[in-house]
Amino acid sequence: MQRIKHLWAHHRIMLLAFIGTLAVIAFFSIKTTAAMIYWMNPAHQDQQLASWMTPRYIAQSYNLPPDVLGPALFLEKDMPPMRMSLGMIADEYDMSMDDMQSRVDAAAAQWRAAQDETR
Amino acid sequence: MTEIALALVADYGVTIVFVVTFLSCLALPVPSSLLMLASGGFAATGDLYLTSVFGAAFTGAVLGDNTGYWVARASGDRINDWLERHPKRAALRRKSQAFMDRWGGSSVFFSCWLVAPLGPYVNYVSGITKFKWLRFALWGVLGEIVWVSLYVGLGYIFTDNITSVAGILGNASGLITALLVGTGLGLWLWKLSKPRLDKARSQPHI
Repeated sequence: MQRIKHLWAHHRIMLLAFIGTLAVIAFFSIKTTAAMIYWMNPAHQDQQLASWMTPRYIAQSYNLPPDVLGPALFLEKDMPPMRMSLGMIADEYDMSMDDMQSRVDAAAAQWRAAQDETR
Repeated sequence: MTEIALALVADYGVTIVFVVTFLSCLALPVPSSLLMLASGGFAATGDLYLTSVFGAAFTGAVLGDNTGYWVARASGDRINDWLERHPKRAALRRKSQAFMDRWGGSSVFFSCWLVAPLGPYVNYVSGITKFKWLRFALWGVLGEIVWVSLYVGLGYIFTDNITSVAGILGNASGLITALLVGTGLGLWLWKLSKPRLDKARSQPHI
């Protein structure tokens, strides 16, 4: 206690900086834990679509074969796109990101249901 | 910012990875970690080549580190004059010099990846204190190999959900840095409070 009093009297800024750092540690501990819990939840495995994603990336994230995902993204089979972003596709067909999300969700749901049936 | 940077990778490829890792080593606020994860993911899906992703990120980081070092070193004399003009600043400069003499190599190495938020500042301090360039460069190269392999590798492995992995890593890296800063500050404050305590105790005997 005496030490803290001494520090408060002579090194106040450093002591406040230390207390601030403790608060930052607490903040990042909570955020790290929350991020891990979110990640481990299987319900969050399908990553929400974003304009930076490429068709190949979406296929990987949603675990869909190209011939299932392709039509949902307006892609023809004979033009394999390398690094074409979802934003570009959406712009071209005048669609919002939500529209694209529901198209992909619908395709994924249909394909997954079909997979379950054959099992 | 993040979305824009990621979209740029999708559109222009590894050039963006190079530019962003370069800028991040100069303390500019660019989302380099997320970008390396995403480009690792793009390499896994076949949108980019793993070797060129690795090469671009690594070259950008090493060039960025050394640019920071040489900029600080070139303006070092002027900064040193400014530091020496005030006794408190001069003491801080001497302390950093002593610290770099003793811990310089490992500071450079770990600040590249484990406590990456401190990386650019360690580069600047290395330059100002005229830390030996060859030592700086070698430790920096080793550190950047770890940094780039770690992030590109994790992106490659956990392609399915890059943003979640990025969230965990970003927060974990903030946590490690805060823990390190907190430990350093705590030890220093502990030391500062000690001698005065002895003096206070011995005073009644005088």
